[in-house]
Amino acid sequence: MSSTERRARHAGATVALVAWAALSVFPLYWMLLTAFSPQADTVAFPPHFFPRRLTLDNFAWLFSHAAIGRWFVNSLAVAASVTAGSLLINAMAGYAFAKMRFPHRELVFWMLLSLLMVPEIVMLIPLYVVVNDLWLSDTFFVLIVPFLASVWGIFLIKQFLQTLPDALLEAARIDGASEWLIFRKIVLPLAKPVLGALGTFTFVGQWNSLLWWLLFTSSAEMRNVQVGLASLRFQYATLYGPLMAGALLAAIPMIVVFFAFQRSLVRGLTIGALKG
Amino acid sequence: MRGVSKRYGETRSAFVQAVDDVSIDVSQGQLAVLVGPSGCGKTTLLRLIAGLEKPDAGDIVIDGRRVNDVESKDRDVAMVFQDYALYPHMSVYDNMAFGLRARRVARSEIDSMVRTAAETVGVNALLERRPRELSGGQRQRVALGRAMVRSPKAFLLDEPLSNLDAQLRARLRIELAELHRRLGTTMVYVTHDQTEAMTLGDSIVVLSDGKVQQAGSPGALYDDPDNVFVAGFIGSPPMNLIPDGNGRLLGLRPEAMGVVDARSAEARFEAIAGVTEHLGFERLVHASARATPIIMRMPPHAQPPQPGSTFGIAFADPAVARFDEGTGKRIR
Ligand SMILES: Nc1ncnc2c1ncn2[C@@H]1O[C@H](COP(=O)(O)OP(=O)(O)OP(=O)(O)O)[C@@H](O)[C@H]1O
Ligand SMILES: [Mg+2]
Repeated sequence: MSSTERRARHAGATVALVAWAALSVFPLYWMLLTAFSPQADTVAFPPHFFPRRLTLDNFAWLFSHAAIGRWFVNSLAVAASVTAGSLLINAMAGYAFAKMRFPHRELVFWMLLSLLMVPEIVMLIPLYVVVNDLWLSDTFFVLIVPFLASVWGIFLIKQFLQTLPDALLEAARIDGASEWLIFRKIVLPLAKPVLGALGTFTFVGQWNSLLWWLLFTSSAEMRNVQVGLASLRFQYATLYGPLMAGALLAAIPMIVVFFAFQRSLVRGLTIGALKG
Repeated sequence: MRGVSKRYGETRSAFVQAVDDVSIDVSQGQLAVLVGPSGCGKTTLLRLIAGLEKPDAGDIVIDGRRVNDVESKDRDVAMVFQDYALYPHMSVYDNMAFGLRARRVARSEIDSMVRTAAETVGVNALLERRPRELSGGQRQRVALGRAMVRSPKAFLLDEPLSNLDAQLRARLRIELAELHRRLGTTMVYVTHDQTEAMTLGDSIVVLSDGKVQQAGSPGALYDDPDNVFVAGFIGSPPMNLIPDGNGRLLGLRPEAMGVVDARSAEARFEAIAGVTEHLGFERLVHASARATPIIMRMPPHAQPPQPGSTFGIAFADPAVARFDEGTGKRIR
């Protein structure tokens, strides 16, 4: 290949990547712009691509006309309790499947795994009926409890814990530790990398949850951020300014969680107790 | 252990008889060595004693108490694993303190116990380190310290020196013997290295295929092997086993044979000389007698036979152990 040809290819790749980057960044830029622009500017035609006047009015409107504080509290409470609870329960189940001996362990595990093949959408209507019959709709219970165990989480943790040497657990057992102490002091700390990853995904997934909340909550004070923001789109008009301001706020916790856990993901404990 | 058996495997047809009707007696304060080739069931035996496996048959008795149904944590033994099994996320200090905390020992006591044990095994300068920041020998010491710290009834050591280099192994072997002498705690020590077994053991149990081949003092095993397996396993180089042509094997230690002229009256049979290893303090003459390769030990300044030459082998009758060629058993 001649050097001009190579340079041409290089330039081509650069242009393509820059275009791609612009395409992905533009919606974010637009969100930012809209959030800080007055209502009139956001619906102007032709659109203004550069800010003319900047304002915090949209945020003020959100706090005065919408219950965004309440939505945030709901989102946060549910996402945090689901994350904490499911990590604990999935870790216990994953540990059992990885390291405990009990009858039909493999069979039970494969039965659980096969559940992954059932699409969630299929179960939505039956679940709706069950929840209604139990008078559970519009409660935190139905928002939290169904997510406290997940086959996917159990699977992930099991795979990870299988790589732990049995000798570690046996050493602890001989050292006089109870099963609970072994779980708390040996298994959980060593599972940090997988718990960090799973926790991040769970939290983000819960934070962005829309369909479940739409289906199972009805009262105004049981909305989460996503449902709340969606309610700003009326039949004939959409309040783009406040909507984007809210979306901007809603992104903050995810970014915080992501960066907080990213460090623990990357740090990844190497198992250094073995010889060699 | 009385008549203990253990097999691995789910089905009745496909299983491994890892331990087969083993009876072993280790007296209090003794250092007993279980020795045998890889896969003979040594680790399984230790795990049975520690309570990590349940025997299919037989009884395990510690300190007069039958412990078959007693959980590991209540057997009051400590184990040093083949791969050390240090807790990777804990400092050396926490590794050693873990067992004490699990047993709810008072905090002030824990500190002094950990420091004493760390001193004994020489790791008191490393207490804040993580296992991955330690060398192999240091990890070894920490593993020993962790076992020692709660003064158990017995130590179980599974090839604790096998992954160290030869020099360190030789040094730690002496330290271990010294440690045993000082603590006076019963130890069961597993190795596949017969030299280690001979230098460390008060008593030695030779295992093969999950069965006890012979148990006794190092001297008894060396001088008086019960079968060809023990004869060929103990000693470096091991006993020579030469067929006598009547369905028997003559067992002769390398140092029990002398080189003489092939035509002299002392010559019991002929051999063809091979190479000689000069090891400084001794010479090992490789040769072949009755189509069997043999090794003879000679003093450092003796003249070895020329490679390819024929010479005679002399020995005194009491030095010979006779074995049945078919069963491998000793004929007394
Ligand atoms: N968990 C297990 N499942 C099935 N078979 C096993 C298991 N553990 C050990 N075995 C088999 O039992 C036999 C004895 O194993 P063991 O580990 O006790 O040998 P060992 O004497 O300690 O060997 P090494 O010197 O290599 O450590 C071997 O044939 C081994 O393959
Ligand atoms: Mg072993």
